[in-house]
This record gives sequence, C-alpha cells and structure tokens, in this order.
Amino acid sequence: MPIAWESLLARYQELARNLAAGLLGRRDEADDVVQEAMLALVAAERAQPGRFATLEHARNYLLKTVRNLSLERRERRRDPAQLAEGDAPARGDAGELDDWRERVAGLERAVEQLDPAGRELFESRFRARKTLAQIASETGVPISTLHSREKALLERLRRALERGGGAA
Amino acid sequence: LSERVTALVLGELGADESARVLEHVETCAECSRQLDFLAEVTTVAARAVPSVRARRASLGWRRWIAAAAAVLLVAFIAWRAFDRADDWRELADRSVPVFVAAQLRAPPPSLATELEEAMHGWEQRDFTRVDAALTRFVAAHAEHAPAYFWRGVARRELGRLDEAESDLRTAAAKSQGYLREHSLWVVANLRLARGELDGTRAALRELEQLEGEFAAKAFELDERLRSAR
Repeated sequence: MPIAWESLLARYQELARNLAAGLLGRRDEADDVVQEAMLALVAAERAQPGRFATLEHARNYLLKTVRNLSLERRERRRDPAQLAEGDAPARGDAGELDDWRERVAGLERAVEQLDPAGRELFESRFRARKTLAQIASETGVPISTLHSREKALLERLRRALERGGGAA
Repeated sequence: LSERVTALVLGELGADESARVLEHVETCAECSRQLDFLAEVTTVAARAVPSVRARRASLGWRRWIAAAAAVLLVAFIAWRAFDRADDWRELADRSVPVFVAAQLRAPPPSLATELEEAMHGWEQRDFTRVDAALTRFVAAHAEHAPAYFWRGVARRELGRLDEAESDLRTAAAKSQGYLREHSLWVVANLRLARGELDGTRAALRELEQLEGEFAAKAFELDERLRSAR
C-alpha cells in the first residue's frame, strides 16, 4: 500500500518538529531534520515498495528517523541539508486527509470553547511548549495538580472530538 | 505511559527515553492512538496564532482605516484635553482589568475555585454582585491579596472610591510582583481621575522604584504630569 504522503505530513509534521527540536535543543534546525526524515522515508518506500502497510508504520519509521537524525545532527552540528522541491511525492489519500482535516477543525472548535483556565493551560503547554515545572513555578500551582489538569484537559478535548468538536 | 507519550510529543524526552517510548508505541494500540490524538492537538496548537491573525486580517482594510481614524480622533481629543491644564485627569487609565484563569493564577489552588465563583458576573460588569461575593470571600480569607484587588476595582466601578483605594492599597501591601504593581497602578490612576495630582505622582514614583513591569508606564505618566503643572 503506497504511503499517503500528504496525510502523513499534515498529521505528524508538528509532532516530528517538536521531537526534533527537543532533541536538538533548538528549533531552527527542526524543519531540516523533519525534511531529511521524510526523504529517508521516501527512499525506504522506494527501495521496498509496500514496506509500510499502514500509515502508522510510516509514522513510526518517520519518528524514529527524526529521533536518530536529531541525535546525529546534535553531535555534528553540520549544515542543514535542504529538501529539493518536488522530492516528496504528493500522492495523498484525499478521503483520509479530509477526515483528518475535519477532526482537526473539530478539535480547534473544542479548544476555542475551553474555559479560560483550560485555554491557558493548553496555550502554555502545547503552543508555548512550557514544561509543567515551568508552569508550576510561574503560577504556584503544584506539578501534581498540573498533571491532573493536563490529563483532564486532554480527556475533555478527546471527548469533544468524539462528539464532533462541540463544547469541551 | 500516557504522560510519557505527551512528553515525547512535546519534545521533552531525551535520547534513550524517546527511543523507549517510540518502541512501545509500535506495539501498544492505546499509546499509538494517544500519539495520533496528541499529534492533532499539537497541530491545532501550532495553528492557534495564525488563525487568530487570520481572523484579525479578515476584518478587512476598511475596518482598519476606520479603526485608525478612531484612534487618531481619540488621540486628538486627548491631546486637546491635556492641552488644557485643568483636564490632565483625562489621562487616567480607567480600563477594567480582564479576569482570566483564576485556577492557574490564584494559589493556593484550594481557594482558586472559590475565588472564581466569587468573580461570576465580572464579564457582565455586575460589580454589585462581585463586590458582595468578594466581601464574603475576604471575610473567610483575609490574607488573599487578589480578592482585595478585584474588589477594589469593582468598588471603583461602583463609584465607592475611598473603599476602592483602601482595597487596592491592601492588595499591594499583601502581595509581591505583578499583582502589587498592578494594584499600585490602579491606585495611581484612581487618584488621577479624582484630580489628586500629588497623590498620583507619589503612587507613580512608588511604582518606578519597584522597577518592575509597570515602571516604564509610571515614568511616562509621571513625566507628562510633571510637565502639565
């Protein structure tokens, strides 16, 4: 089964970028690493067509490659390799991508409807990517409480998503 | 492991732990689903800023021109008002602070929910209700500085200016950092609106000496008032 490239990129680009940035200790090289990892995935699929039976298999390969490339790059700090335009074929599964877009739109609606405290935790944690320890020191709220709130926040979003993106 | 998956998604894990979690995700359907869900969450988070910008952009250039014209008009009126020496009180900042995220910003957490309940009605500008609720709150928690701050602002809005200033001074005395400065800033502007120029400048100088986030604003306003005399 060919990889749905567009879906893969849309779904996991941010996650892969976060993973790379965390391991590299800087964010400016993360995009390069993700691009390199995508190229590696393209090469792997070309070498062994059908190797990735599902999108999850491709995701796992992509994330592991991002991890390995980030660690290599951290060691070498070499010049970032650029992805030539058009290298990543866009033969995505349009139906699946539409479903995913719908889910993300629903999630956006759920986030918009979070109460102010939930919204602030979401922004601090997932957009500003602050650690729970950072948030705890800024707000005085114990880490254990923040853990519970984060868990409850994600559960609210998940349920809202299951209901189609209504109130969280 | 759910928390580890979250940490992975946020790039918080080191080399070894990220490898362990990625290995685990390959064999655990539940964590695999969690990873996909969190991938969606991070995508939405990354879009949050552009979507806000997009909404602002969608206002259209005509509205921006209208908004700019309004700002210029207000600035002109303010300048004209300031030009007359007896109207410098028009410079007072009378804005009502927005109450957000009490749960995250009002330690100890055990009081957060109670304070949030007392603040019901703030957004609707029901300051009478908030004043009554906060009065009950401070009766039970006399050392809770934020409650005095919010009640002080509520009382200012209700025109009970002496009580408002007393609450704001209490909030400043019982707190440190941002809340202390914000309380002093509101006190300074409350005095300015009442025409108490010396009292205003005393509060502004107090703020400047704290050298915090309000110091620059305090200095700027103090300079304008000094030149107005």
